[in-house]
Amino acid sequence: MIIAERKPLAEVLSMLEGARSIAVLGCRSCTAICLAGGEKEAKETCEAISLHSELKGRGWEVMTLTVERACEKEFLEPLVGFSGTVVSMACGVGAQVVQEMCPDARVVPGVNTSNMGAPEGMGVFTEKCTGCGDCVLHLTAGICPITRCAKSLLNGPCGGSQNGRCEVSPDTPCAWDQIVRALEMQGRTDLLETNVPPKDWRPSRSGGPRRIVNQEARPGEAENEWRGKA
Amino acid sequence: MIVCYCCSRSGMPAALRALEGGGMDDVLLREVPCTGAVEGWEVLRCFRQGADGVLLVGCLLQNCAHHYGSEVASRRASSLERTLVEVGMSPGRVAMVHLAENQADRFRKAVEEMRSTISGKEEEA
Amino acid sequence: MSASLLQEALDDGRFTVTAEIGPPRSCETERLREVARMLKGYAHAFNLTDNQAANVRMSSMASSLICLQEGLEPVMQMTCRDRNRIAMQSDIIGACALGVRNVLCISGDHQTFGNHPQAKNVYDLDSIQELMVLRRMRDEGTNWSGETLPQPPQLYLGAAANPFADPFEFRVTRLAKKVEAGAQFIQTQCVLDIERFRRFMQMAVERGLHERTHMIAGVIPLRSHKAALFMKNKVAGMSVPDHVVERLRRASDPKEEGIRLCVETIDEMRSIRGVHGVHITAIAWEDIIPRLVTEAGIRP
Repeated sequence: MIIAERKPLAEVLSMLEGARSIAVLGCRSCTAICLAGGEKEAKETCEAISLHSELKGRGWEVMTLTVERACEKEFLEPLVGFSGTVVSMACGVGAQVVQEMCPDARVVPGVNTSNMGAPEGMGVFTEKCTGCGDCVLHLTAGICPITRCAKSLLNGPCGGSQNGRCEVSPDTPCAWDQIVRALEMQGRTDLLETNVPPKDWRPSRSGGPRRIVNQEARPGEAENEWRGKA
Repeated sequence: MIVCYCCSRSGMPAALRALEGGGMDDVLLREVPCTGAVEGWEVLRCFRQGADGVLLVGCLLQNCAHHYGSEVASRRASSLERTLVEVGMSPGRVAMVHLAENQADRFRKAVEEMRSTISGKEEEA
Repeated sequence: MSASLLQEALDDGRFTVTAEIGPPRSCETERLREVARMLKGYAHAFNLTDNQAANVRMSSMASSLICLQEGLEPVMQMTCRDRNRIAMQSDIIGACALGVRNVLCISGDHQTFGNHPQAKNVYDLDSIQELMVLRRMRDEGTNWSGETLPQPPQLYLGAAANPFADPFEFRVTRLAKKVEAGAQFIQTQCVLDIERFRRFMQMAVERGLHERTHMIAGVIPLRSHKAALFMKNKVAGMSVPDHVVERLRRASDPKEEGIRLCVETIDEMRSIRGVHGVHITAIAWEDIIPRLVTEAGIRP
């Protein structure tokens, strides 16, 4: 899922200069799971902003709303027509979709969206996938070298790997150390023998902002007509 | 006004005993099953409703009826105290108190400390 | 047919010496020329590092050219950290056009180590892929996209190996992969843990790698036990045994002891099967190289 972190409140408050009507939007998906922008966090931020407004006489009208998934338009219907400021506690994706759905509103980010990762333990979230668009996890014992190797090596490890740790930090495991050991355990070290040639980065963000189309899901004439979009 | 979220097992008995001793007109008790269940937004809401300070009164660490509820509450209290400073309140307005059900004096002391935090800052202002 | 003097020396079977020169932090060309003149003749070739430890320095290509002008044979280093395949191929063509032949293909220290940790890193290729790309340019006369190069670069390709990194057993396999990708010479990380290095070389020789590539053992003169500790604790991928640190700490003249230790290490390297030379990294102590080379009896 997408991992995000709450922005410092002072930073969010500085974005609210000149605001009148403020909606703090929470999301029940990713940002709820990583405890950055779910219903609880949105309510808390709403209360904090309201209190600030009262203490400093800003006269802000603050409310909060939490939706199932801020990135899907159908869940944002309740916000359509809003022309105030939206503090988005959803990830960067949700924030942008909200802005598209509410062109008269001013959307400000309440969280810093970081990466695609998973909970490792209570309150700890680690990055797992960079979305390179060409997954080869079957070759690396299910461990992604593009993401989890600091240098994105495909023929690792580098010379800085010591005691299973990456040279960047003793807290960071060396992904290639993990891959080599896992493949040894699986009896698949044959996968390490051939050199992997240079990667085609076109399917990744390097190729430009991506637009994936699932042709089978595209509505045809009959459907468009029925929906009144012909 | 000091709002005290007191857990059923330790906080409430101690608080009630302290209240019997009198001189607690500025204290408002709210019973909760565990201080760990007190949510951040409701603590912040207290201040908009007129509270000057909030205490979370729960079990001693390592002896919580819900194992680690008061531990969670303690971390939340620190975080909320910082949030309050960020929105413009003076420091120390939220505090965690760990006590056993028979420690009414500890409750009383915490209330007195909060009063002095509140009034001390008011004097400065 | 040798692409360079370094290749000639190694292929001829001579015990080869290479040494490292750290390029200056700014346009201090005169200083670099002075160092080059001082070191001339004391090694078969000189490595010019590429923004080592991710600190911005004069580029390896420019420093290599200056050394060429002073009559030294350079080994240009190219990391994967700062350049994508387009810039790499372009720089190789440029470097070769200016007379550079030896290139060391390495991953490069991560930018968090250096003075610009905020930079966006590249890592389009890794060191093995870099070897593949450069070899294709030289041997097939095309760039990586398959376009013919009317005048392909002449290159002598090298890579690094670290017998002191983990997992130990895999290090020789990775060495084999680099040789497979085109590494004709290998410079290793500084050897202070001689035992581990012997085991590594034994495994390499068992695989016949000494017949397919030239192994050049890294050596380093340490000036004090503090320098040894710094290497031990702060430099990625180094293995410094405690007895080395102790020896320097107990010495009455640590610098002399450090020089002695280095000369001893060079002697040991000469006795190991498969080692075809030494690579001296005398960080911030380049002026000791002439003495080291002379005392070890390996002057070209």
